[in-house]
Amino acid sequence: MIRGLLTGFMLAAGLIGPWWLPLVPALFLSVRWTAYEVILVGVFMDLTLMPTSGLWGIPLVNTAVAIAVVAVFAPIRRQLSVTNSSSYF
Amino acid sequence: MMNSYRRTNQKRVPRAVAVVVLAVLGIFAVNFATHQKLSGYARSVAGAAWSVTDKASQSVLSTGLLSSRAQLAKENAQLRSLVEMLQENKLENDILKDENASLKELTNAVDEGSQFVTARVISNLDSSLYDTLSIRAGALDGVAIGARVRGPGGVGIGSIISADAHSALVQLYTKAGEREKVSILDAGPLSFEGHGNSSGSVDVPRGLTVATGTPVYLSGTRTLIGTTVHIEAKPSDALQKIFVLLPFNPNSLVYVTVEKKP
Repeated sequence: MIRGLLTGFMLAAGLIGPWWLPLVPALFLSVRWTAYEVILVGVFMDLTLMPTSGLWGIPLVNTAVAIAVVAVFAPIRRQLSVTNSSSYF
Repeated sequence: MMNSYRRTNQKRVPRAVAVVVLAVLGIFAVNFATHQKLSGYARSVAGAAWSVTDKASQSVLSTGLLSSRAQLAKENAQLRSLVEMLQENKLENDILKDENASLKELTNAVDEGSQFVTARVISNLDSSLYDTLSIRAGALDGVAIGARVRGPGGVGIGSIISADAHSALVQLYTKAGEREKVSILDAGPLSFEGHGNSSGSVDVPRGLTVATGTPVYLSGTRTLIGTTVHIEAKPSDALQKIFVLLPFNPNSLVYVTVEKKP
């Protein structure tokens, strides 16, 4: 339920809010879960708004940031997790 | 004493990251191979969401729920004067249309219709890291990749970089790192570099005297793309850097005009 709400908020923020706003729910999601949806939203934003030249010549900035957020928080979550998750992603 | 949280030392990080990265790259490879079809689908989904938001915000604003009585009265007066001005403009336009039609008749010119498409801006510029805007006009409306896009007053704001059937993506000239050929005081072509936030800069020879407020045009056209706001010249440099700003805030754009495909 909370995960769905945060994902909905992240998607809505990505479409209508400033570019940094989706990072807030993305961080919450990544701290608590293995949030593939963060990466999916990053991919969606790049598919929707990215020109072929990217930003300063760097393509897929949203996707790269999304993967980085999930990848950075995954080991932290695993270290602190009391649940039974054994895989990285 | 044992820790209450479990610690694992499995080294599966590279494989998991590699799988995700490969999957993502696969999506973009398919998008590239299908001539950005996936982007088109994504934009149509996003377009529906933008339309809903747009309609919702318009209906909330139109109810006046968020306005005070004084504000509404002021807005009413402004709108009345706007209606009067538009009525005058319409009369003038009708006269010009008649005159244009009679001149066309005299010269046997073929009516080619309008060269521009008016399109509603559907995305929020703030949401895009890439300074791109989505508009509700596409290939079926005559919008093609490379077409110039203009804002209020015919000011050039960018060009079409992707066009689907009913929507298109506009890249602003002021996008960070974007380069465009421009002319200042008939000198040119000079290289304009976008800095983001509706600004950019041009390096011009020191010999050219440029004041602030000088218009900057797209090279070879009379399409204004901004005015000079600041000049940086060092005695040791052969070039001076001229900073250019769009004359309006592109975040406030509601409609734009796009050059039609010939």
